[in-house]
Amino acid sequence: MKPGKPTEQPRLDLKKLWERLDEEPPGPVRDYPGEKEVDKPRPRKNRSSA
Amino acid sequence: MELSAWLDLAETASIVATAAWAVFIYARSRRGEVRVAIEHAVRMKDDFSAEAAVLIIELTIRNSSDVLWRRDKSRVTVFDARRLAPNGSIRLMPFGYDDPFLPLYGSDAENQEDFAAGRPFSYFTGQEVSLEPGETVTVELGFRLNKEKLGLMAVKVWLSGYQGRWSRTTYEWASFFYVDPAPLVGTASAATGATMEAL
Repeated sequence: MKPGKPTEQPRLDLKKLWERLDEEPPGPVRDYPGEKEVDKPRPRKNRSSA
Repeated sequence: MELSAWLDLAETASIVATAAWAVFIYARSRRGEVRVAIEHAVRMKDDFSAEAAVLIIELTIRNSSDVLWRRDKSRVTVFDARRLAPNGSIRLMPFGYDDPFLPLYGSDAENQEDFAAGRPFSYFTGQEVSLEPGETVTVELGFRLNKEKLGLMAVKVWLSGYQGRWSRTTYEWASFFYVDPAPLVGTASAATGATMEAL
């Protein structure tokens, strides 16, 4: 574990990265799924576990 | 000073010393810190289509401590590692991101467009994701690959989170490993069933 800041690692625009590189990636560039949030009446806490 | 007073003083000193020792042992053993174990396994579905294979990364994330872990951010990054950098090191170029907790705790999409666009899950507003002490979750993430471009890859699993219920300080946990696809070819066919249609 590593304490303290900065914790945010910048997410790159992968498509631009590979375009500038002028190479083809091993597979389709896949961006981060994002933090798109869905409105729900009230947050619930996960409780599933193995 | 009377003997009884000395005994009282000695007793008090003993209690204080014992408490200090207990605090020292507690701090030194790091029992109040979160430990997150990140384990992985990989396999390859090389008959996804005529042109495409899928790298399947299985992650087991375990809170092996006695302290609650709360997620801040989580990310899996897959790197192309087929080439060397000018300085002679292996050049790591990211080409895919994913979130290991999103398939587990994200809400299912509620419209066809999101499913069709490849966004089947989303966190809901204010959602917290946490791992209780001793809790383990397992998730598999798939990354499509071009069969013609198969080569050495690397994977970084990065978690940012909080220790305990009230902490506002973030900490990081991570794992990094290389993936050689050559011995993986064919390892996922039996597990993932029939060949899927080409994208």
